[in-house]
Amino acid sequence: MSSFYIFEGGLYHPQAPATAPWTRRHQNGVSISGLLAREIERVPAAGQFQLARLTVEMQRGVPLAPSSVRTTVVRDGKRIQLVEAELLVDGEAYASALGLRTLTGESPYEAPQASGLPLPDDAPRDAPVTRVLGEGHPMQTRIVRGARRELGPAAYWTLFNADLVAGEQASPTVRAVMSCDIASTVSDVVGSEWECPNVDLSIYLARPAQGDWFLTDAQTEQFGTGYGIVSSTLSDTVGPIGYAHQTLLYTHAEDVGNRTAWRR
Amino acid sequence: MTEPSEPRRKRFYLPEGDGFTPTRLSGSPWRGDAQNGLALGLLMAHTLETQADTGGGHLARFTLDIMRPAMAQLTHVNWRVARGGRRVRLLEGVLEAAGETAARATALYVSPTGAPPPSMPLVSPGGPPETTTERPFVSREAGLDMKVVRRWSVDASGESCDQSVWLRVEADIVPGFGASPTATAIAAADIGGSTIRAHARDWTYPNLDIAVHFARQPEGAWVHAATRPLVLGSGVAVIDHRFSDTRGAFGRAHQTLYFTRGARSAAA
Repeated sequence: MSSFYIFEGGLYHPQAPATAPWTRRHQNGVSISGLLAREIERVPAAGQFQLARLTVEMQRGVPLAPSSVRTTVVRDGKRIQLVEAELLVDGEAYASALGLRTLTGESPYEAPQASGLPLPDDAPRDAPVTRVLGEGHPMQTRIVRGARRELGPAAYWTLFNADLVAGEQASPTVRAVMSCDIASTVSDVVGSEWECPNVDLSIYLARPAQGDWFLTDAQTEQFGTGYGIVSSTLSDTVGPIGYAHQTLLYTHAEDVGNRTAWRR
Repeated sequence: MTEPSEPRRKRFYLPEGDGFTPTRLSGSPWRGDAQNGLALGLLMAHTLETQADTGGGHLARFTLDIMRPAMAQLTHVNWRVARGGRRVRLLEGVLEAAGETAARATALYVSPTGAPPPSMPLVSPGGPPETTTERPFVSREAGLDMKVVRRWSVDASGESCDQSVWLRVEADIVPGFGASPTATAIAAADIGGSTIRAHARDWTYPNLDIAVHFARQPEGAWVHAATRPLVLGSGVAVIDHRFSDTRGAFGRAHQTLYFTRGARSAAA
């Protein structure tokens, strides 16, 4: 099985699936958010903890080069832990994340509203989010609301056919985090004249994810101010698990050299 | 910016030196010696708008982590620029109460260089608030004016919600400074626990955080929150708010609630 990273000599070496489609010189947001979430999950805790919130800051490109992750426990407790993780290249921090972890325990249950969307086995197999993310790709997607060349809200299932780090399977929660970074692509509302990379990714989880398939039901709102937000509801095959948001910052494609062809 | 207001209104804090002393309005509903999350959010918003170097951009995201109960004593807030780019600026704030770090916050500001035309029209969530039936479920003693528009209904986008509320902050944050539209939105992000009040007999569930995502800057004194809880039995719940002002949608917000058995016990 291929992987997004190979861990060797104390460093994470990004592989082809980790390459950013924008420049080919940087790591993509799927890989960055996954690696930061994984490192936060690995911090020792005083019991069975779950990721309740993750806020990833991605304000500049992370070079496609061997990387390390530094974690700092900001707040440690028996039931709540706040962990910061920084992604470093040559000792310089290029991206960071803050993770809120809580002790898994009992609490009330209220049946959530089902999405009403087809499950992955019933979803069209020939409808990936972009033309490359189809069957067998390390990040396999199936659109179940909206369409690839259609502006507006959209929903898609994601399955990972590659390890995040070679030789180990990332947790379902880490893979759910990775799955929602491309929500801005499929729910685009302005077309290819505008480039709109997300500068952050925030995820809020009411329970740990389960299984291998993850649903992202996304809507982008922009009101002509030059920025906007993507709001997604996240589910696994059991039901809804939480929400995700991305802040988009729009730049006209002519101002950055037209690099948006990959989005369609 | 937080807005200058008429004198002699109720206030959440009184200035003292370079800090703030909480008033009764800032008291926690969960424990008598601590401040409530709504007041902490308002104080962070006020200091962000009046003291921090925001670089003139637009606030795109505000996140507050409540790390431990903030004692109802002299409180200080300090903001610093954690990352200062030309188009994106990240600020970090630390709130200390009684000499202990009780909360920290991040504020993401963006400075766009251009803008596509709006992709959707603004749709008012209904109201306006002055004409709705007043049915406050949080006492005015809390410094808020809240009007339940309808419950177990749908919001303007057609999505279901469990609670639909217009909210404005009646009290000053500090004397002479009322809540700005942005500060009001941050305060509104703290009210979601009321959507699951039925559990309050058996559980304590203070929020560990609030987070607000802005698609545009809000306007006016009133914020409309259409709220849904996601309560899935794993020890936490996520509250989802869809925010609007009188013109239409402007953002989303969330709270993480942490459950412990028993009513009104100390959490975390």
